[in-house]
Amino acid sequence: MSESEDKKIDRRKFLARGAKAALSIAAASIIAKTLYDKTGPSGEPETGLVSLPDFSVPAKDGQVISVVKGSDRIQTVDKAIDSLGGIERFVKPGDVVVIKPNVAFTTAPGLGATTNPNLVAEVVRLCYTRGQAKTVYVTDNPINDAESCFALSGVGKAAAQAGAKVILPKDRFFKKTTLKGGKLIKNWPILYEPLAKANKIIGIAPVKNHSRAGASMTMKNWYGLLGGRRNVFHQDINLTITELAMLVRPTLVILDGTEVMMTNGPTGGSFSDLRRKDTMIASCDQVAADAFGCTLLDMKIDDLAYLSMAEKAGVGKTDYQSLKPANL
Amino acid sequence: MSSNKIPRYESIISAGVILLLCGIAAAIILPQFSQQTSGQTQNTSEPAAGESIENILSQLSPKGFSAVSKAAVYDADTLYEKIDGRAPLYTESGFEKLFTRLYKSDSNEIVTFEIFVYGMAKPENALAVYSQQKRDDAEDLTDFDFGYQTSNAIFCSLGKYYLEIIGSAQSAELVKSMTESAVAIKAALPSGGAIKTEEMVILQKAGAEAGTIKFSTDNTFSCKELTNIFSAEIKVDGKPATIYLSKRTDEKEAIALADAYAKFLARIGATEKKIALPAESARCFDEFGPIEVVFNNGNFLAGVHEAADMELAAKAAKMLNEVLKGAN
Repeated sequence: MSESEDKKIDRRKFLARGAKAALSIAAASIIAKTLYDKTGPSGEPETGLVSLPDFSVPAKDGQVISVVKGSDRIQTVDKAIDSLGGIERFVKPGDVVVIKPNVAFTTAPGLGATTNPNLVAEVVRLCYTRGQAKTVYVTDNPINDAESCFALSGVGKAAAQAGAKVILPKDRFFKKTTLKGGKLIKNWPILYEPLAKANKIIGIAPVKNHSRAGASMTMKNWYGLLGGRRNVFHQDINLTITELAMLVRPTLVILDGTEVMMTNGPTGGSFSDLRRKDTMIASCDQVAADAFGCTLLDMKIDDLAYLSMAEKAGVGKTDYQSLKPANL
Repeated sequence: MSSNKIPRYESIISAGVILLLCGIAAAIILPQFSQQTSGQTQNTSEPAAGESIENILSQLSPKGFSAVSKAAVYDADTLYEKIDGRAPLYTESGFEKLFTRLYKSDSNEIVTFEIFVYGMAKPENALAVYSQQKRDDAEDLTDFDFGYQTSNAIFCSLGKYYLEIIGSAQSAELVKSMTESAVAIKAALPSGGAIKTEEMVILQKAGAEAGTIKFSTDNTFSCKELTNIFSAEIKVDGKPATIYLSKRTDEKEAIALADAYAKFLARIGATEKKIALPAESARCFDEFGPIEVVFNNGNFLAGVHEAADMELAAKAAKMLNEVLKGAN
């Protein structure tokens, strides 16, 4: 419309056009808000990245890994930790501890797809009573709905009854990280908020067959700290597990081989997928723990490529025998 | 007033711009809408088969149990959110959609069972994932062609659907409720869950034991060339033997496949044995103890897998070949 025509516009038309323009802007704003992608494209610049501290404790010769036989998880985990110097070696008065169980699925505790709730509760109790921890958090970012997973697995209730604060993942708890020297974990969200509060982290995982990775144990357990559409990591599962083990340097890991999921993992579904092995492992070296764990699955260390890859990356030792496991 | 009339060309341009914007908006919104409907959603427009499964689950009312939530639906992109590392087992075997629903006991809320209905592209795909995961302690369900129970779970192959019902405890009462649910699901399926291929008919005529027919899409007996193989257990003079069968496009393909398997056996160190066999093309291999027979009859690849001795292998091959004579 020409300038001369604009000058001839009357007040009613001006108001009508103004109202139309305002409606258009409002509609555009609503559409923009609806379509706004909070996470942004994957190729966005790496800004505001977080990194995880080293949570490990100083090594002690002959007290790196312990293997205890027995059917009672409470007794075996107590003995396994005591063999490494007691929980006092790992948790000091006033410490803030994150316990990371495997709570990936909405399955009953007896099916062995998730960490045994009584085991989690016992470690929480040890942290408070003997370690005199200030706070113990229990958290995981499950594959299924978090609330249902913590409820059905029994971990939520057991941990809370033992005095832990159970943290269910929320969007704002995730921050992006990049593993130094990593190829896969780049600019990727991790469940950072609970870890930022803590100075110790203890991983507790069951021994399970895993149709993609071969086995799911303490190293694979850190997968539960990843956010985003993490299924992409299954494309190169060995490197993913290796990088997770490089990313998280834990204070202690506990590998529960009391009842081992021998087949149809990681979900299982039938009690017949489980076999009693009555073994509990506590270790400062997650590679050594998993190297021993694979023997419970009747596998060899070479069957799990990520073990030697992690060893090569300096995460730990596959030759657990050289670490002189206590009680073995 | 005529001077305020908007020129026609401006209206055309404006209409063009609006159409373009609508096109862009549709291109953005429609794919997102499509992704949202594939996740855990209800009240969405699934294909007819999907709708029927959702309806079946929503109308299912197991005695003494109540549904905890509405039916959830997962597609190939979101399957990992439910079963994590086990997803490739399905996605690599013609997976289309998974429907799940959780039920809890009205008298004891920790007693639950969850129904998983995996929609596969073809009945053979459902049978393949069923066969692959069949538990050793399986107790066949008499109401199903392909169905078994363990102490806490029900597993069935129903036409193009693979059904799992997972209970939280080892309880006869719970298994009874789950079996009733499986029967109700089977009855509600349009085809009643029936599956019958030519190979299955032949295997049954050859004496296949009830509930032993299996199907493997690839890498059968660790040989990557052996694809789409049906197998079954038979009894020869009271001794167990495994026979296998696969209908190929033509005789030439069947001969080539038999040759490929013979070469595979030789490659892994098996020794070829000269014994009297029912078919001219048949070859026999001693695989460090277990005996293999492979042959073709017309466009069928056939054989005996890991028989205890050569006599048993030859008799089993003869039984199968006799039935095949009538089939070609």
